[in-house]
This record gives sequence, structure tokens and C-alpha cells, in this order.
Amino acid sequence: MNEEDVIKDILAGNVNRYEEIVREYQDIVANLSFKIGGPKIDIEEMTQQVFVELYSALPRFKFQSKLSTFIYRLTVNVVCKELKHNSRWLTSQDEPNVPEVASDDYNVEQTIVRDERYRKLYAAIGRLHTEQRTALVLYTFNDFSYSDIADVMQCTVAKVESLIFRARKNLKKMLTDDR
Amino acid sequence: MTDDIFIQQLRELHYDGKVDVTQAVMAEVRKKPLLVSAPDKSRWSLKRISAVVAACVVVAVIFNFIPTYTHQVDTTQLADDIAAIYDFHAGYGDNNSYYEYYLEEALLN
Repeated sequence: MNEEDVIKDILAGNVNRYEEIVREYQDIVANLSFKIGGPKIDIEEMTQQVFVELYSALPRFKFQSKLSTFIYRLTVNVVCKELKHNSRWLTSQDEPNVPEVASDDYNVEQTIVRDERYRKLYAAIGRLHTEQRTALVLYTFNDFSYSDIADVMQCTVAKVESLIFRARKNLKKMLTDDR
Repeated sequence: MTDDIFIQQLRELHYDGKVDVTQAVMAEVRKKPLLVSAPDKSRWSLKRISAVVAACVVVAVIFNFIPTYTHQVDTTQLADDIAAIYDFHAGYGDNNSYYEYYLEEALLN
């Protein structure tokens, strides 16, 4: 899919081609929303909102950055706005509902241990400050560079470095304390 | 646990619920036609014009205000005025009654 052609086509009035963009990016948007927004966020609603907002924002897209970066930025903004309005991720009493991670491992004991590990990790990233969590998630997401993250978060590379450093430090501390 | 292990775990952690919002999004976007760039540009220029006008008003107000304000607190001017009153007063010699009469009249009125 040549994104530039698709967008120009949509802007020229061929709305049906927007479906191609939605199909291409909906899993990525859902995944990013899940990692930044936490288990209580309505992933489907967030994903839908991102694509409706993206459609309205298309005339402002000037092809100066990649469409993916534009979509990630929009996702981060939509999810952070949602978190701000309904401030919640996990309280200490909540049991994080972590979807199972795909694996070929059929050993039940190992699977339980692994799920427990992910549950703790997911709960720990939920306790991070939203900005730190966003930077860290993007860092682990599609191998983003610091510069890409700065572009998505609309801040400086130095700030991204600092956010990731603090996020890793805090996460490490939380996971060590939880042992 | 080293940083690299939990970073790796975070990479593996993903949402496995299937999301398909295509139909819902398409139904939504078909309802609203896109406003292509022209109105966007004019909105920007309108914003810029408003900003420039607002800046001019602020500058005009400041420059209009400063001379009035400095005149009011100009201590040199004030000292000159006081000296002039004393000079006027001195013109009547030691007899202050004439000056004091007018001063009292002024205060009473």
C-alpha cells in the first residue's frame, strides 16, 4: 500500500480507501492503547476513536513524517486524554487481566509462572507516571529510536532519554520489591 | 532481574484480543465529509492576523501608559513645583497671613 497515494485519494473524495489504512493499523493501535492505557481501558472504543480522529486530521497531514508516526502520536494523545479524564489503571487491589502471551510452551507449570511474571510486569508499568510509561512502551514497541519517540511525544530527545532512564529505574525497583 | 529481561518481556507482552473496528469507523467517516486544506490555511492566517493585532494593541497601550505614569512620579518635577510654591510664598516676606488665608480658603472649599 502506497500510503501517500491512498491519502491523496481519500482527500480527493474516495472515502472507501480509508478502510485500507484502518485494516493496516488497527492491531498496532489496539496494542499501543493496551500498553499505555491499561486493562480497564476500552481498547475497541479507543481504537475506533483514534481512526475517527485520524480521518478528521488527514487534511493536516503534510507527509513530513511517516503516517505510522502520525498514528502513534494520535493514539498516545487519545489514550492519555482518556486516562486524564478517567484517571485509573490499576489500584493495588485490582488483579490485572493480562491476555495470554502466545507461546509454544505447553508445560502448565511454566505457563503459570510466566503468566504471573507478565501480570507483575503489567501491574508495575501501570504504576509508572503516564509520560514514563508512554516513553518506555514506545521504546519497546517496534524498536523505536529515541528520535522517533521524541517525534511521537512531541518533546526533545534528551527528555525521552531521561523519561526512559527513570522508567527503567522505577520499574526495576518495583519488580525487585515485589519479589 | 536485569533491565534487558524486563524490556524483552515488555516487548513480548501484547494485546491478543482481536479488534476489528473497520465497519464502525467507515460508518462514522462516511457521515462527515473532509474539509480539505483551504479552510485550514485561512484559519491559520486569521489566527496570525489576530495575534499581530493583539500584539499591536498591547504595545500601543504600554507606550501610551508609560509617559503618563512617569510624569506622575517624576520627583524632579515635583521638587520644582514645591520650590516654585516656596518662591511664591517668599515673595510675601515674613508675613504669611495673606498666603495662609488663601490656603485655608482652598482647604475649606
